[in-house]
Amino acid sequence: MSIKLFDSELKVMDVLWKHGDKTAKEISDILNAEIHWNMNTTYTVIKKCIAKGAILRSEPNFMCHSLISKEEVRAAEADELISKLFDGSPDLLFASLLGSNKLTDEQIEHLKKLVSELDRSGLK
Amino acid sequence: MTLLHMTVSGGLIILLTVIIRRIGAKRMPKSVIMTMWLIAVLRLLVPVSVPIPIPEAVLKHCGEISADNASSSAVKPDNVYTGIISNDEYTILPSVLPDSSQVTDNPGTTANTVQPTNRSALPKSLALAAWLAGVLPLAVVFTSNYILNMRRLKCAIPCRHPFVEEWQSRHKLKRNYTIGVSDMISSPLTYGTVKPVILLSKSAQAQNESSLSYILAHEYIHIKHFDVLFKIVLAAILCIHWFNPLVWVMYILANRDIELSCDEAVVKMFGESSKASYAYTLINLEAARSRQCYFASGFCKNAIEERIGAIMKTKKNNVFAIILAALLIFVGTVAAFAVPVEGRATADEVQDVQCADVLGGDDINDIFGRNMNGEEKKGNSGYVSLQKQSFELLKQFSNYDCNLIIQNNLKDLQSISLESLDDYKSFETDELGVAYIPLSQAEHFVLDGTAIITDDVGEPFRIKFGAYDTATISVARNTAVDMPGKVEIGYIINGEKVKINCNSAYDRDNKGCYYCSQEFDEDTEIYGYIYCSEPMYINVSEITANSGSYINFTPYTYTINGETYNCLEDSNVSYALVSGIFLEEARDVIIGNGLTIQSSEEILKHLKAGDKVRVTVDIDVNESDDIRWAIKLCSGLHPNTDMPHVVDYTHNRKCGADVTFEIPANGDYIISFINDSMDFIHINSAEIEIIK
Repeated sequence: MSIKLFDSELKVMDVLWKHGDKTAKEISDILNAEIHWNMNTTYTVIKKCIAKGAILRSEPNFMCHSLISKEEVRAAEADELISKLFDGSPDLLFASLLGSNKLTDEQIEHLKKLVSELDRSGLK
Repeated sequence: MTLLHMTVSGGLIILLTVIIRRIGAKRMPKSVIMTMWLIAVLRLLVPVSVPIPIPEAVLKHCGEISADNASSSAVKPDNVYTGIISNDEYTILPSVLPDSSQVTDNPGTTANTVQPTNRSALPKSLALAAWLAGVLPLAVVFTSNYILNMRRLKCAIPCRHPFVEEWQSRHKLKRNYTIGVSDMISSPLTYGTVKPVILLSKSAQAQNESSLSYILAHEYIHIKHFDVLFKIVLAAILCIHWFNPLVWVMYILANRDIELSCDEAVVKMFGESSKASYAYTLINLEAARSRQCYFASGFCKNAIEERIGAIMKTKKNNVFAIILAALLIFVGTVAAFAVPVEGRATADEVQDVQCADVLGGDDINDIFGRNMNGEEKKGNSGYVSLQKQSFELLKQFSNYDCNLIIQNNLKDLQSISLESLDDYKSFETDELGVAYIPLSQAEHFVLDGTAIITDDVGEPFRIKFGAYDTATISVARNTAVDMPGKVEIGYIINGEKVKINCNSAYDRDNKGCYYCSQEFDEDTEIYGYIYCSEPMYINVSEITANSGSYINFTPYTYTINGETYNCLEDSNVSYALVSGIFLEEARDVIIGNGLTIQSSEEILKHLKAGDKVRVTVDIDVNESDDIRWAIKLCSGLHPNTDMPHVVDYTHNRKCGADVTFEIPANGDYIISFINDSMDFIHINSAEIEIIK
């Protein structure tokens, strides 16, 4: 089993792989320049990496050390991790393209049928 | 104007909108319904009503009074106190109280205004409490949902998809918006009103270009229509008017209509022939997402079916429908904001103002204000529990197949890279099958039997243990090869083999990483050993002594002269560093776990080799039972990092420190005091003395 990381976490790991050990502040500065993350965002992600066992933090100065090599990392597949994450429906306060409820295969088939029927009746 | 007035007239508009939506939804442009919702929203939110002359004629009998009131209403006491308290929407809240009296009191008989104010003081506060009991939980649910989601959304990465970049360059808006991609969302979304952001999910980004342009157009229109703001306003209204079931109906339907209206605009943008392909894009995205999730629920079935149906039935606007719609909107607006001008006594409004004073609109604002502050703080200290988590991590290490190195504070890190199986070394064993392997070579080797890990000359490690040091031995093996054997690791301490239980939490599947550690209280000679029952490919093994605690139970705060600071708030300083005071000046300073307080650079300048530096720290024992501190002598900056380079250190559990360092070489030095304990350490005073 290898550690599964989200893209955001991979960004942080990338910094460590590229530049070696860095303090959280340095990581934050690098990512701010690169992808405009603010400090809190970077820390939140570093925290996740530590919790997943990808980074070891040491004192002083919140030194971050990568515990895993690039080869050992798998990008998180959108599976149970995402469904777990989605406890707090994002469509509540954000304009989400789709609602937060998932459909079954049958429902999707039904919808497709509905579209093709309406499409045909529209052409007539 | 009171909350109850607003909720009743707002409710009527909602009712009207629901009816129109039901009857005419298919023929009428969605923007009409959206406008109706907007009127309802304004009615529910804005505590203002416009006096109109028509009711004067109808209600002839109070004609005289109304003439008086027309002018007094124009002054609008509501507005006056709105201005005094604050400008945000919560200002209308204090006026919830008069409702109880107003509902029962006939507006015409409110001559005795002074009495109701006093008499209803208690029921008013009860009403306020009851109302807040609904508002606060809802507000908490929405805000926490918002904060948690924002934290995740902020982690998105700018989208570098060439088509998306090109698309964005063709679709400008007055507000600059950014497009990101996130693998933590399952469906594309938009957030932010001032600086809007479109986030694509991974599955959306993988769509073909025509689907992508539908998706982007949809989100683009959300931004253009300020839909995110509208959603937030809807949520705020739900919080305020939680007791009105019609508002809940509006909340659900209006949120759906935001999407329907947006879909309509997309279809208009691409032309009616695009209906089917747009609908398929949505269904395909929905399908892609359903595949990702273990459970599916049919709750949303009606909404999505309604939506797909609405897209497919989008028609060119019918002129008659538009005129009808305009009429409806006009009637709705008038009905919503007009008050029949009659003897709604000024006294009522005076009462409003009094209530605002008596019951303190400020109190309510305080509650919200605190909420808001709490939110901000939460965002800032979100990673405070980092250390605690990294301790948790130590326990979890072996669940992951990782190369594991624990940093020894006084030892440089080794870099490890994976190699092919052919590159694995093997070591000679003695007649008992034991191989002695120096730690520096203890990586990528094949082990069959027992390996004893030694220092570079084959001796045991003499580790300078302090009061609470932890020795750690860790082994990671290659899991690419399926190896059935068992691994046991432990220490040989003072000639005795001590197996330390690597319990199942460390090594759930008996593969991957093995990790165990033990605290020692005094200097000890140890070897590490690894025993494999079958040949194994070992990636790396480590023996380290960790000083310090990884645990953090306290926030990153420190207190100087009774003022508490948080070092996270100072972005210029390293996070664990106390700023604003130097160690030698510290008097009555309380520092949280993991925090470092340093001496000034001036005090230990131009020292000569052989000089001695004595550091005494008086620690207040009452502050904590668990005291762990480390004092480090640092010189200049470490070549690889920009942190002070640790030359010597000591640490202990003692309540009070008296440490003397010998200066190893000429130069400038700094003393760091670090709180390693799980609690705050209260420093009464500290002194640094140079002994030449």
